[in-house]
Amino acid sequence: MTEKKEVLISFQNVGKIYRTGSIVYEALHDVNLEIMDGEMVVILGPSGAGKSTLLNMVGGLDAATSGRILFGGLDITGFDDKRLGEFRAKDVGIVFQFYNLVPTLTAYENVALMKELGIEIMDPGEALELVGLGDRKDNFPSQMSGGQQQRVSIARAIAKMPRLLLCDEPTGALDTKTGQEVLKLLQLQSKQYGRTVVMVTHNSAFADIADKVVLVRDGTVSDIKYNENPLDADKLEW
Amino acid sequence: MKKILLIKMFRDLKQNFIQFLAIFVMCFFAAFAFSGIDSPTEGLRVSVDRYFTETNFMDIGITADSFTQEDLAAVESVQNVEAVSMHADIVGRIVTKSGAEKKAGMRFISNDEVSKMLLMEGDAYEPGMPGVWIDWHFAEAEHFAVGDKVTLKYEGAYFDETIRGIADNPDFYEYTVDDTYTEPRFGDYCYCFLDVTEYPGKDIVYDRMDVSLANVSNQIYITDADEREMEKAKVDIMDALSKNNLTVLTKSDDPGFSSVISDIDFNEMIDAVIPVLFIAVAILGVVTTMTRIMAKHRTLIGALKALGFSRATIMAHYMSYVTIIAVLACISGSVVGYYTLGVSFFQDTVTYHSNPYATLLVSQGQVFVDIAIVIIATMTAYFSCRKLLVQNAADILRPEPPTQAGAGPIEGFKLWNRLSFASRWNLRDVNLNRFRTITGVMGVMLCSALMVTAFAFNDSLKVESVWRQNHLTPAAYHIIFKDGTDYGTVYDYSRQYKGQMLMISSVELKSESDQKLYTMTVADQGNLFRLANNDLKIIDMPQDSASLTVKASEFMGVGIGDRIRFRIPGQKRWYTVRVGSINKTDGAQGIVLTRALYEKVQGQFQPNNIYTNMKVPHAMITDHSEIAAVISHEDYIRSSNDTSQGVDDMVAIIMFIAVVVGVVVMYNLGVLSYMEKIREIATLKVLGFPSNHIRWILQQQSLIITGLGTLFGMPFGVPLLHLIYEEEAHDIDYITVVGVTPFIYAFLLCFVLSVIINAIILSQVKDIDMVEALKGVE
Ligand SMILES: Nc1ncnc2c1ncn2[C@@H]1O[C@H](COP(=O)(O)OP(=O)(O)OP(=O)(O)O)[C@@H](O)[C@H]1O
Ligand SMILES: [Mg+2]
Repeated sequence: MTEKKEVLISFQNVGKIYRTGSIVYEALHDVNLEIMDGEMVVILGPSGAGKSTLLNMVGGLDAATSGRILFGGLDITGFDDKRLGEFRAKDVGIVFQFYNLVPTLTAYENVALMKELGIEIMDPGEALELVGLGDRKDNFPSQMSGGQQQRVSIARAIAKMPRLLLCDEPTGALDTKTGQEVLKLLQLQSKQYGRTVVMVTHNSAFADIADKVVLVRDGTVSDIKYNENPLDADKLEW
Repeated sequence: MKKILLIKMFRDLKQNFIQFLAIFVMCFFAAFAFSGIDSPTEGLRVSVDRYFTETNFMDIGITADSFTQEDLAAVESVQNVEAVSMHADIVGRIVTKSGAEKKAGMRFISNDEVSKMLLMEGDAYEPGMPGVWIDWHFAEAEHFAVGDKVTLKYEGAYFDETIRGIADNPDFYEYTVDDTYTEPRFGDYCYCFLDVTEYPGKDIVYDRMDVSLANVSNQIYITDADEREMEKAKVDIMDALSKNNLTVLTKSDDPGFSSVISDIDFNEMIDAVIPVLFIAVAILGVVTTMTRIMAKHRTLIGALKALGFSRATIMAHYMSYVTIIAVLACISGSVVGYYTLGVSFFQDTVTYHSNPYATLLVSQGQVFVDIAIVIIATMTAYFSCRKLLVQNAADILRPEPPTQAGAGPIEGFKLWNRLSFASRWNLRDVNLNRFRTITGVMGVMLCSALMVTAFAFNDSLKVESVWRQNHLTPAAYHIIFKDGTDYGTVYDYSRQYKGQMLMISSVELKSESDQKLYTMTVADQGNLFRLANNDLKIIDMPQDSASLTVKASEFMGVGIGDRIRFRIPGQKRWYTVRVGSINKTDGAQGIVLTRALYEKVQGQFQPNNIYTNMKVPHAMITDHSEIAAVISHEDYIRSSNDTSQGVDDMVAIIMFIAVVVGVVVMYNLGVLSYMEKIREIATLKVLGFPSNHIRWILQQQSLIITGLGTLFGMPFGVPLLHLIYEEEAHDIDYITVVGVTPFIYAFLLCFVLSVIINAIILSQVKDIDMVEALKGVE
């Protein structure tokens, strides 16, 4: 199955150095990695290893200090602010640990937000149905639980049917049961809709649901594992 | 432990620099405005009081064509009259050291008891003493010193005198040597004092008496009792004397004195209003800033409490931020106000008023206002912090309860769903941050109101400086005759120059409610003296009724259709006329009637002015003894341009304050709102919103606030203008023109400021660190 797929994202000798005043910190170095179209990837590693940094660079939220990152053959490290914006709007859905919904917009409006950019999206109501929140459309984020907010954030990300879904600790603030529901949703995106899903976590149990597991340690990729038969998120236990 | 709090304070101040700067600026301007106006006012009050008290400034001044010793005795025997000084005032010339001749007002005195000289150098005057005492402005300008010999000149006679002293005199507080000066220019001419025995002519003509009353000793602080005393004596004196051209003025009627009082009253009024405006905005600034810091420091405060810091310590710590800022702002504002605005106002007063003691003073009021500002700011900080700090540590550490995110009841309207995403977002944000919004609106209100005031003030000045000369008296030349010139002489000139004759004299107006001294203008036929209505449109001269000026009408309580009585001071006869129109002028206030009407009520037309469009050589004054002054249209325009210079500064100051208030408030709130929304902005960017799109959404909100602010603020510009540019005096009126242009300019300027300031703040959107902004809440 995997061998038919094309390379969607490719890291070529990527490095990232943070400079704050006189302090220089090398967060990533010599990162070489390929992510296939439609793949479900879990990035695993201890705190401070550089997982978020890696993920953020795929979404163009952060720029690489050295090396190249290709997306569908295009070098996104050369994009300016405007091109990166277009890239994120059209091709990338992002889900964060802390949901990052707009507090003054209802669940429905948070999803419908993408229409503002003139992007074709699925009906926001439908997207909310998909995440099981059909009846909470008119609620503001402050009126919902953490899991519900995270699901709105996923609905917002998938509503525009992106090629790539980036998730940074999407279950970090959730209990096991809600976390499992969120994982199910994400896995579905890859399995059913053929979207590429990249998820960062420090919870090694999640590795079982991925097609590919990328281990990050001390700022570089230390190992890559493949699961021939990824586990259903339903069956996951932790 | 305390040291740590101190370090923390400096960090917090640095982190919230813009917000604290805004609080500083508002407190600064409150203190600045108060001090800038109060210090010259206090100086005026104290120095004039001292000057007038030391020189026993007259309680009543009497002038007439001539007085005899019997008249003097008659006045002296009036009840409560304590002392009378009778003098002869003439205008001659003085020869300067360079040989030039300057005009000199000479006063011949026989005693120096009322409106005494204030001797600054030399010997004190004693009756019968030879020599001359000259005014200090002229002595300084022409380098005269005690002991110098000078030559004085009067009607062809020269007489040499020795300067015995350099002095000043309160009667000359606003002195102009003759009508060619429309305002004082001390040093340009001389006024001096000699003993009556030095009088150059054969027979001395006394024309002035200064009276001091036994029961009146106050100067600046006149009481109602003093006022009654003076009015009573005035009536008694009028009854005791029957004279041609008699005028009896109490101290309060005296132009010099009443100008001091009205200056003080006016300043006190502005002083009460302007600082209040700034303090109001400062309070809002303190509330927004402190509430925001409290919200941000929520967990920190909980931790401090848990660590055992007492509530009082933490409270004092946060309040001290504002206290320190307010103290610094008040001290610097007071000092800067004193040395800039204060000095500038002071310069104006000393230019137009002769007061040897003139000074700037810091009043108790200043200290009081500064303390009040600090207390108000600190108390505001206290109430902003109290709500959070009274809770116990555990409650504080629990996160803030969720806020309602909607826009309130307006969401119920059908229209709501039709609004764009940006509008909905902005309206909800505005509703959620009501206090920030109100602060913004109030700040813009203040800014736009001040701008309208400044622009309208400027327009008014432009109009004022030329309007009367161009529209009411559109004549090329104005000839003023000396008192007592007979009708035939004036008539001959009017034929020769094809001019319009006018009789301008003082008049007592009497209505049921009041009796006051005004100016009467009786106009012969012609079109060089015209009237305008309140809208500044030229109106016809009423033929069978009189016209009252606006201020005369207001103060006498007389309107169109009513009757009013008037008489020439010193004459017994009262005339009664009907009021047919009200006219607006920034010139002399009073009553205007046609010669025909005046003669119909048996008045005797004695013209003393001619307006003409034919060229009149200035040299006429020297060649023709009956002519007091020849003033051309250009002379008038020039001198009014000179006066408006000082007021131009005022316009600039108001404009400057308006812009500073606008910039500070808009920048402060712009930054505040940007920082509060930084997560949302980052979220939108992550979702792929282009920076320009985000900027435009945020700009809309500031445009809404600017729009509301200007809408509510601009109307206040007009009353503010009237407050600044109106006299409570019964005989002074100003012209304020408020067209649409000030509103258009103020509106545009506010929006330009708003757009530029927000564009600067929002330029950061492009380079926002999304990862940093979206990191979990600490
Ligand atoms: N803005 C920054 N400035 C300086 N150093 C940074 C910055 N952002 C991250 N780092 C450093 O880079 C390293 C990698 O950070 P990153 O956030 O990618 O870690 P992570 O693997 O996601 O950890 P966690 O599981 O705790 O989220 C960390 O050591 C961090 O201290
Ligand atoms: Mg991370």
